[in-house]
Amino acid sequence: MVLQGIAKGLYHRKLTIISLIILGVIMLSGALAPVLAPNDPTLISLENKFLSPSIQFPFGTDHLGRCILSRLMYGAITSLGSALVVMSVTITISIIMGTLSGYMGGRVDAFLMRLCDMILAFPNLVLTLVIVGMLGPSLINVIIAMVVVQWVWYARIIRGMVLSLKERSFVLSAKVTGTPDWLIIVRHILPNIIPHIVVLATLNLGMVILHISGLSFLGLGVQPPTPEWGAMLNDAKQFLRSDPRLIMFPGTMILLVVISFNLLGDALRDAIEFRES
Amino acid sequence: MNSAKVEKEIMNKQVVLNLKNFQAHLPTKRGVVRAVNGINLQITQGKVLGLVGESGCGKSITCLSLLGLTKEKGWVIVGKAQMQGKNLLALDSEEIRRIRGKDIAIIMQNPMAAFNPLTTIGQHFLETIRSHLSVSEKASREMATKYLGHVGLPQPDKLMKQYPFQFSGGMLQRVMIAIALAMEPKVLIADEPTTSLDVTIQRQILGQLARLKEKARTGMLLVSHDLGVIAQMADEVAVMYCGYIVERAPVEQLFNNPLHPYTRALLASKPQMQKKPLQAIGGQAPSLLNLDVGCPFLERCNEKNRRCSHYKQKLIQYDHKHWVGCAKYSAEQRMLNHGLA
Repeated sequence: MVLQGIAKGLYHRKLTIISLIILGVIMLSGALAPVLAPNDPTLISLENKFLSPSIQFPFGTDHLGRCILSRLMYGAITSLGSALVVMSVTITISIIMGTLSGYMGGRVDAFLMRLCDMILAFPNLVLTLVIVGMLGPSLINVIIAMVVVQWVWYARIIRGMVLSLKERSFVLSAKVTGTPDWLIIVRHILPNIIPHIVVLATLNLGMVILHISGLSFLGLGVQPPTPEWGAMLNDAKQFLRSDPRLIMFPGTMILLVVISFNLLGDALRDAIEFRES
Repeated sequence: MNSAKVEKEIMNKQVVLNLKNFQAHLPTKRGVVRAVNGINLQITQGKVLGLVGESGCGKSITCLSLLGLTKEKGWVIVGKAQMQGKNLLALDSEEIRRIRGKDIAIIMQNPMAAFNPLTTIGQHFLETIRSHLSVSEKASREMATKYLGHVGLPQPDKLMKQYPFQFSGGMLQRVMIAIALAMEPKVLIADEPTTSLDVTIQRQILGQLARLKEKARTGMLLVSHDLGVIAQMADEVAVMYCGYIVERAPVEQLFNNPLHPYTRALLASKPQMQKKPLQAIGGQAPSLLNLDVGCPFLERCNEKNRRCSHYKQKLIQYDHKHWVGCAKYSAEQRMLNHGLA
């Protein structure tokens, strides 16, 4: 039993480390793309189109003769970066809203929660499409739309956690000693919810990346010629039969990143649950 | 000024907290829960007022309402709680916050749950100090260390950096007392401070509280349902039942000459050294929801008479410091007794 437990722990840890390495390499290559990338990602040369992997183009070239590896490296910044921006803005807004709503209760709570209900009443993707459609297709607008749609989910979860936390004895005893409300929130409420939110955010980061890529695939997000994985998939889909390599590279990258974030989130959750039990 | 007036003046100064006609009601869909129904209590400097009663008779609600902690949950609080000329029940939330922990400190029932598992003992301490005084972090750290030493905890510097789960229940209770003492409150409310602790620790904690009473001249409200604790600690005892004070007397008088049938039953139900079966009080306390007129103890009382069913609870002065709320001692009943005799 014990050995099994340790083996399981190691297995989980191994997966966690692998996913950390994958994410690290991808982020690093994205950050260092201007130095490391073998070619200009936006340089079009029609004489080089559909080249197989070679020394100059390690992953070959796409239908416009652009180096796929360079595009993947630059695309890492756009894909991962925008996902991180979406996530951090979403989390910040929802922590503020959720804590306010849960801690203050009453009318503030009722107002914020009805607002959430209104947003939740529409399907996620539809609402995003409507907002992007109204604002016009661009990466910034996709980020705005995703934040608007997503903060409500986290705000509700955080509100629930705050509701149960504020009834705990240590909050009462902090009140009894005359601690002001803002200090109770900062000292006692937030430290108790942030670990859970980190897990949730990590687990959902993969989903956000998929969403952004999906919107780019639909032509709403990143506009050409900026390299982005979803947009690359979109470009490649017409050559699915003639040259599946084009779709495989960005697809694999998205798959790897999403799986890595999910594994990382799982590991974090296990760690927290272990600590709490 | 005559001497009686002077004496009264001094008396008033010594009373640090004066509860007048204090009521706490909670309106619910099924009716009004009358948890506290007009009680009068005085907490005197350097004295311990014991408050006894069974679970759900309004003791804890009284403590929390004093600090305005029940208002936000929809409780309706009526009456006066005077402290230094201010009515605590009429203060706004910021004013009452300044009083919490500084003028009135509470020691809570369950020390294990009263500390945030994610913050160190030191941070809990500093939080209280810095909520009330504008002192530097270093000064407040020194203060905290000093008070941790006062309650007999070894190596206070080291303890400051530790987390609540590294402490035992008794240690945490002492930390809580230390935090309560740090602001040198005028009133200390100890809401069953020893219920979750074993007897040896209980003894230490009570010793600590007794020393505090002597040294800092703090007025103390000791809430408990442990009569032994009350007998040991209190100067005066108030017995609470269904949100009423049914008897109030100096501790020796109450134990030697209990007047109210409930107090008698309570004292009779104390475990004795002889192997006799325990004397239980039959029945259950009535629901606080929609309390009827008449004595709330009526159904369980073995000394009742026909007058009891429309007796309106109020305290009758039996002798100098002994008050009781029972129809048996009302003026008319006494007259009847004398007439028959």
